[in-house]
Amino acid sequence: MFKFFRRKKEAEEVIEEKTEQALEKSRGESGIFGQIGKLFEVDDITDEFWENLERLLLQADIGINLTDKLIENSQRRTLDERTRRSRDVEVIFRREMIRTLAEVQNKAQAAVDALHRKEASDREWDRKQQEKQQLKNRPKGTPPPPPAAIPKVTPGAEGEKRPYVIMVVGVNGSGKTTSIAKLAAYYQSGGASVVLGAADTFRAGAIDQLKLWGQRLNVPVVARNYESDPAAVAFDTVKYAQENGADIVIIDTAGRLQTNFNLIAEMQKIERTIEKAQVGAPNEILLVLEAVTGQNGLSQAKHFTNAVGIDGIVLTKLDGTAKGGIAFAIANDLKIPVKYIGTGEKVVDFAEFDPEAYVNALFVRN
Amino acid sequence: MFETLSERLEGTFRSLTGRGKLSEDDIRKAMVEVRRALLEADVNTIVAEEFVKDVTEAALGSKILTSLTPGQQVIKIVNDKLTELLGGETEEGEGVDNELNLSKTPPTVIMLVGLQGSGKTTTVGKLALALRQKKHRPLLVAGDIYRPAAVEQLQTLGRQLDIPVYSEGTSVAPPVIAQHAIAQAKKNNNSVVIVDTAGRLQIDEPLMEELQRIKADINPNEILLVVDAMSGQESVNVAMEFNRRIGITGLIITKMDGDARGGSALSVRAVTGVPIKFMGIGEKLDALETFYPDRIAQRILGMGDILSLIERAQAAYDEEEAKKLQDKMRKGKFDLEDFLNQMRNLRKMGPLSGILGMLPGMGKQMKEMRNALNTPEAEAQLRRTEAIVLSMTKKERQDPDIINASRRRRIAAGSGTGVADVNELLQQFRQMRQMMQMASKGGGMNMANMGSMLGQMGGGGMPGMGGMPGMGMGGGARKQTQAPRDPLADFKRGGAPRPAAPNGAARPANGGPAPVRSAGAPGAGVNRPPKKKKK
Ligand SMILES: Nc1nc2c(ncn2[C@@H]2O[C@H](COP(=O)(O)OP(=O)(O)O)[C@@H](O)[C@H]2O)c(=O)[nH]1
Ligand SMILES: [Mg+2]
Repeated sequence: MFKFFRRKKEAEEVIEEKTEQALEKSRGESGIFGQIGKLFEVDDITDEFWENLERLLLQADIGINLTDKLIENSQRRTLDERTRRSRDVEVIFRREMIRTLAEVQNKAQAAVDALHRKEASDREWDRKQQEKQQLKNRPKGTPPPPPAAIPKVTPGAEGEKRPYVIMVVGVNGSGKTTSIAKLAAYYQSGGASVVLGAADTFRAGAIDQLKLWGQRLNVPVVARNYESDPAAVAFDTVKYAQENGADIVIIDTAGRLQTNFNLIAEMQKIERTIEKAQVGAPNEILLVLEAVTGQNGLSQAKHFTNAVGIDGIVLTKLDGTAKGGIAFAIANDLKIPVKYIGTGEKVVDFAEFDPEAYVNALFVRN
Repeated sequence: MFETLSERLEGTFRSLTGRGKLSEDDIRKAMVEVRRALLEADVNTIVAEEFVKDVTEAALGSKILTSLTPGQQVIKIVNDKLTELLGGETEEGEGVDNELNLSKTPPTVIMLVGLQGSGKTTTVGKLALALRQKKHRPLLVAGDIYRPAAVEQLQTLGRQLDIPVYSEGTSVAPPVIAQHAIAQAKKNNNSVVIVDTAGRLQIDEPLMEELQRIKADINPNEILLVVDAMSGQESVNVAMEFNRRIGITGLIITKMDGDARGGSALSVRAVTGVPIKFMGIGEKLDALETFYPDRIAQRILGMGDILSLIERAQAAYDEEEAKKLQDKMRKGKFDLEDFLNQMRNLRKMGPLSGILGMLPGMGKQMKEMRNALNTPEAEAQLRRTEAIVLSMTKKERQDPDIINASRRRRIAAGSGTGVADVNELLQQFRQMRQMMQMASKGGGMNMANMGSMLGQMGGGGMPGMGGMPGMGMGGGARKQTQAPRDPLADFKRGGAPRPAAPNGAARPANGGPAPVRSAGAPGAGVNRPPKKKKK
């Protein structure tokens, strides 16, 4: 497994590269974030500049409330630092954006500190840009770096092995099943054995879809019939994984709108049943959110987290032109971090989320 | 989560009530709020800016109708313009264009396109059902050969509906499959062919070319772009590119059963100029509705949509509970505990003023009622009432008649009110119980009674609120969405939670609560109790 030997530095680079490749498309002429980068290529910061910036942030689905906040904070700092130089303002503004995302990430403080250090000098900044250019030339289709560690769950009283259970939820069509395949491949690449549970027993073809991924990845898929109780499937899956000593369990669930009371209750039941199969499980609940989502993403995150408690977001379809700005608003309002990004339909189109790489990618000019 | 535009404008204009004409300054202030509301509803920034310009022009110099406050006047202008932009009747009297173009020489060919996950395949099934109900003989075509099990998904839908599906697996090119399908449709006398296509990004060059080829090969009568109601600013670029590449003829907005405001629908319609033909409003195959611009305009504004009000009411209500309540009321056994529950339910639906404000064209009575409840004093009074009830023991709430003088003193002290307040509440409660007993003989417990009741408890002496249309809660409202007894009854929303579709996918209720469906109004913050965090 050559992947084990990949150096950490290199892993970081791959994540950056994937983030950047995903966001690259929008930096064309009509792309929003390319325009953000360009916007700062003015001599003086004027009222018009702030208006343009506001419009671009809104177009990225960051939402009017957070947009106002980001701009006000940046304006205040610009005043404090008595500068009108566009380069200074850009640094201030990038810092604001990264802070919004980074504060809710695990490595929060470290990331913010690193940022301060890095942005201390312009020279450092330019060097970074050059490095980025080089990274861009790396071939596509490189698999994401493996997880730093495979999460372990304390064994039971008699020493029986317990898998780490991940439950994946979200609205219809957001990319849950595909993300599960990607997660499975990701953990596999770190040497973990993975079991998938086909608890979307509702949508036509959903079980077949997961089974096909299972076949491709050579990962067992526990399933019952369509229409069967999804909670029972989840239960079976955890039990199967326990019996076979698997490391990771990932449970697929049917898409549901956050406002549908019954379906939210159904999801809560799945969670409770998983807990019955293994104390403390599910160990992680991921909400899959597509980048094209508008302000409704806030409602999604809020309702899902009220119902089951969301540990993190998988931000999918970043390979499109949408930038997933609603994730900023969710991080800001609900303190839920983005954990992974989906950047295409293949299992390699996936990476851990890195706030700094993300924001920086947004600012790179062509 | 979102304050509605109407609430905001009312706020902005409160100080202006009574003035005869909108000044430029008033309008500018209002437009700041209008823009915010549009943006929160996901209307594209550029569309929103243009729109605000338009409305400003229309509002300038418009005389305020005597019957409207300045705020209402602006809302009316905004609403009219939105409706028009969404494809509603224009001032020139052009009608709504939401019919499918059918070919004079069958088969009519319809092709669905869109981003991944927007809901194309399900919509193919829904359209097929709708067309069959109009005596068509549809053939479905499995043109998504890329996503794993997409063919199986369509085949399953076909089986559920007993409608034929044409497929050639996943190794024949979609344009070829589509051509073969048309040939088969001609042979089998199918009057409509509906082609499912793979979801694709508008910037995916090979896949966009593929669409162009399919189009050239089968020459569809309708190319419908499927847009997710929850999508944000980018939907405009997606739609423009699809339109530029293949020329779309109509739009279908899906997932409108959620709480998305649907501003992207407006934007997409505005930039493409193509009509919105249908809305998807649920997972069941009959959950497809013809598009009505006025309803969506009101939804974007967060006002006036009586349907969404009913749905909010349903969401906050447990049907069984409502039934129990009716029984109690009929028997005169309604107690203070029920009262507290009801009050909390109403709270769940948002501040009272918000709910009542959702009713368009309120009668004079309603307006008075609303104004009375809209005051901070009324809200405070309601909170006081709640405090008093909460200071009672369970036993006292269940049987208020045991509340004697010493209990009253204790309750007053506990709730930070006076004995006189407690007395007044108890007296009003008794009157109300009597009144409800009478009212419930005539029908279900309804919103009107509830509002009136709370009005009495709150400000005292509200005018009766009889005659609010279609506002029954529990039994009453649900009937409107319940399926008639037809063979497709099981598809209908509002029945059992995701009831079994004929020989198809069902989603068992698993003993969940009574069927409720929440939708409509923005952030209809149906506050379910937050669950403890695991681990
Ligand atoms: N372009 C792109 N498409 C994706 C991505 N993730 C998922 N999809 C596609 O989105 C569609 C719906 O995905 P699926 O996993 O079935 O969604 P689910 O209904 O939430 O399980 C499929 O066509 C996937 O191929 C992504 O990161 N980028
Ligand atoms: Mg799925």
